[in-house]
Amino acid sequence: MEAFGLAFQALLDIQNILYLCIGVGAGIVLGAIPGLSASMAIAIIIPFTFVLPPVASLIMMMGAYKGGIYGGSIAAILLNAPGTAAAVATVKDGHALARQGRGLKALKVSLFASAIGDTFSDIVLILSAAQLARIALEFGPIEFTVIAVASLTLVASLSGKSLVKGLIGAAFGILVAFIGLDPISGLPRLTFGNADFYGGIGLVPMLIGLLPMAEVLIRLEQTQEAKGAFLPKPRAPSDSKVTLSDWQRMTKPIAAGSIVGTIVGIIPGMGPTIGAVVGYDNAKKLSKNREEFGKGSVEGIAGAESGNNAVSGANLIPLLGLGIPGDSEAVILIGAFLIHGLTPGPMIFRENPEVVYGLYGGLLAANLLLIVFALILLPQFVKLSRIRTARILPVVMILATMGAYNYQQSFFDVVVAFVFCGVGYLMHKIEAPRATIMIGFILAPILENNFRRSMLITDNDWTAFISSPIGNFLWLLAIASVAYSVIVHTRKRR
Amino acid sequence: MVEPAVPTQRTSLLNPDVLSAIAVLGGTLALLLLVFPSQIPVSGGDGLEALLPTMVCLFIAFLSVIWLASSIRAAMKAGYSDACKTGELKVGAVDPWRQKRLLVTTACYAVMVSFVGYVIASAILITTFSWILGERSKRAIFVLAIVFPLALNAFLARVLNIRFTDIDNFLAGLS
Amino acid sequence: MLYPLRSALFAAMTLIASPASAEEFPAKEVSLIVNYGAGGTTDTATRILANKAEEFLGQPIAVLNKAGGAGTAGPSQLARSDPDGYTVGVTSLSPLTVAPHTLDVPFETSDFQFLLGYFRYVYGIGVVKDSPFKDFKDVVDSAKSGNRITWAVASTDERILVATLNNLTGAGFVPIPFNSGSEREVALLGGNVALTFTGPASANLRSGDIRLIAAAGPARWASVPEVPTLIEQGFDASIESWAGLAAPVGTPKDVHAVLETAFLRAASHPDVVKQIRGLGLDSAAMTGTEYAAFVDKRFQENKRWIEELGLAKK
Repeated sequence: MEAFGLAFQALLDIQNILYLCIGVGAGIVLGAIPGLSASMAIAIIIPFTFVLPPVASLIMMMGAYKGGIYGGSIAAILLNAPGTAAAVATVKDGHALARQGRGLKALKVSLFASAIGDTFSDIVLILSAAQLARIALEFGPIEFTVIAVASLTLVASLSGKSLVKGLIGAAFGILVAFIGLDPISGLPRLTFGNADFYGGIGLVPMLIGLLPMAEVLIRLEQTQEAKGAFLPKPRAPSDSKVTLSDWQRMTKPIAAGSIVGTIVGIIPGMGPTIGAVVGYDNAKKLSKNREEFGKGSVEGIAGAESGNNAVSGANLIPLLGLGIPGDSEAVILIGAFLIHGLTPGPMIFRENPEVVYGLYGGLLAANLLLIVFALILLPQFVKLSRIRTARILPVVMILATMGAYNYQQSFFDVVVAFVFCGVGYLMHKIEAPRATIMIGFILAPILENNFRRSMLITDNDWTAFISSPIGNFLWLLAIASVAYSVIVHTRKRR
Repeated sequence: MVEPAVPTQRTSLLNPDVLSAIAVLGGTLALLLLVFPSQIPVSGGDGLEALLPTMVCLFIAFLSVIWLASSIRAAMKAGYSDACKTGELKVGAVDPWRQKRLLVTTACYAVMVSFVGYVIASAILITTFSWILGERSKRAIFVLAIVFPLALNAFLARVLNIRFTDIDNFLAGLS
Repeated sequence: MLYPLRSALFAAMTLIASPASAEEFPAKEVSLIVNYGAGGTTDTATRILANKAEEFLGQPIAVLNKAGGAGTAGPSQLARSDPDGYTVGVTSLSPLTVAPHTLDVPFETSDFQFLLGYFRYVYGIGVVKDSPFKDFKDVVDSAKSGNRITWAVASTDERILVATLNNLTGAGFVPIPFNSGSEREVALLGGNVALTFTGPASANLRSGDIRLIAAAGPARWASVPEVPTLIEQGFDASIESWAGLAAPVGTPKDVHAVLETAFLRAASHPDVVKQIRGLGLDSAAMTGTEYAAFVDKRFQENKRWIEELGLAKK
């Protein structure tokens, strides 16, 4: 409990709050522009970390990260074009609500769900980082393989009406992920002798092409769209608010999403996108209104958003407890620690507790600031969405192009983005879901790398995958989840 | 597995669904037989470089056969459509005149960005798109097409001090 | 009608693009390409160096990250850059001496003029704290008596060391590749592998959860001086990997000299030495010529090993 006290003491320093504000604000705005992203917000801040004191630079980065994840959801809801991969599960329902004039409601649901999920995982972090970090150690290559296979079942909930097409999309995403260097031998695969492919296809350019860019074409070619406002006006005051009945429906998904997101975040390497998808999937399973999912379900948004933000707080658990980053943003955070001569890991609690507590305070404050800023900015964003389609979407196209380039300052990524723009456009024409490609793409390296390592470690012993207690538990969860879906589905048809 | 939509006339057997399924099937076979042998080396590591890619390809082939079968069946039954739209976002009718021009412009843009650079290409794109979409306000076009990309670049390059290795080249089109 | 518009555009663009004057080098800022991602060890250490070198150079140094292709995207970019001294880049040993044997890289060693080497990566071999192995000989004995000893590695350099040791001792260690240093350690701590490579920056090493049984480089660790090197323990094998900076070939001699001096002064500055040591690296400096010779030597050695490991490109 004294942890909280010390955490708030650190916040009393005006400088910290100021930088936190800058971080959160920048994160939200940058994340909301399709093409820019949370990682970019953080990368921009890095040069500043040299001159700022450690706590300030760390919380500025964390603020930008959290703001960025939420910003991605703003773009997803208003433009049908997620600003970050983590918003992939929010896109469908969020934008559906926006098309009904309920954009502000969707944005607020997303905001509150994000903040609550994030605060939950932050509290878990503060209370037990060191102990929980040890849990991350229980996950070895075998367990990760099982997780990856089990996670593939999540594809079902994002597939919409056609499971077959959703699976093909996911499998295609996996295939694309194979381009690059083989994880075990380092030899190039599917690179056609071209050094540009060695690093593999970037997630961000692919996402940019598949969703925002394709979306521009898809929307603009429709007959009635161009002259009118991009999004319709709300029809009733409740369209812009989160009503009591909304709150009642949100409680279960947010609770489930927060818990699950925290667990996903503790396991290094999973990332907020998986947290979002699992949160969405859980919300769907727990819901009495499953038909709404995909057409504007408040519960779906709540689940996805609490899931993905909970991951961001929980990612710090392995970082602070073991010195192991949960995802690529966390790697940048490690750099920030190192520059100031701090080593994240078990020792930091003893050597530099004041930094840790300052960070904790910053995390909690970031959530509050997120709500404050968002509530101020959201009406402005919604006003932007009243601009004519014909004016807004072409701008999205060029922003997306710039964003693809900015990812790695590489022109190759722009080509990738355009290629996937074409892919996304075609997929829409044949009514295949695009979100499942992302899931396959993200899970593929986890699956393959760990599968092959398991084979190497156990000397090609396939029974290893059913010999691990955690692994078996996960298998049971996955089977139960699939069985539940099948039962519900068949029951519905009667 | 598929709920009936409002009955429409019998759809052709060679509808987009069927054709796509065939294309995907053909694509995966081509990958397996033509691309993988040359592009996936099998090495002294663990020799399993080709294992998962092959399995995934076979899985896609399997799925596309199911897809093909179900879409042929759907086409043969009048009134059914595999691409069921009930309850999904109402997709508006497509304007073919616009569609062609938008696609062509985008393709040109993709190519032009590397030749004349981001700023000029983006200006041309926005101007063309606006024209196709019926936007006639010269001022609006000017602001969006010219002021905006330049301002964006100035902001990123100067205020935020992001330096891009190629940005001057990217902007001027000398990649 | 278009001409005024176009020239206005170009005028606007030149306002935005930086003017290049060539009176006195350096007359504007210098770009430094780092071949790994932001926040990583190489990136952080290079930024520390660049921060200090700015003072000696008299112009700002803009650090850019160009990760990809196992560290080869940066050097590729560098090789294509104008040799006017305003672009330099990190040319660490791995993309220059390892990658060319396994991948088709669009550059050669001769495309670069090396400026200096500025730190050495420090490697060691670690086990969990209650492991029965007390030194490397214990491990070898255990392997030879039939136990399957798995060893977590994260780079080809480390693989080569394992292969060298296998060759020397006949122990049959099984290298398990991971993508990063921290993944290796998680595997070790989780009981999935018996050995891992580790570095002084490792939090778990400092907390005692991981125990060092041998230093894998040419010298003992400054932070753990009581643990002998592999060589001292009787095994003639070591890893030596450096990071260095280079300019594209064709950079004029005087420009090269200015850059080299500025960076060397920065690399030997006590603040920089201290900060780089704090990252768990060995702050040491080699001149450009020494680095070039070193690169050539390692290039040949690695060629042989990679072919033996069966990892050479077809």
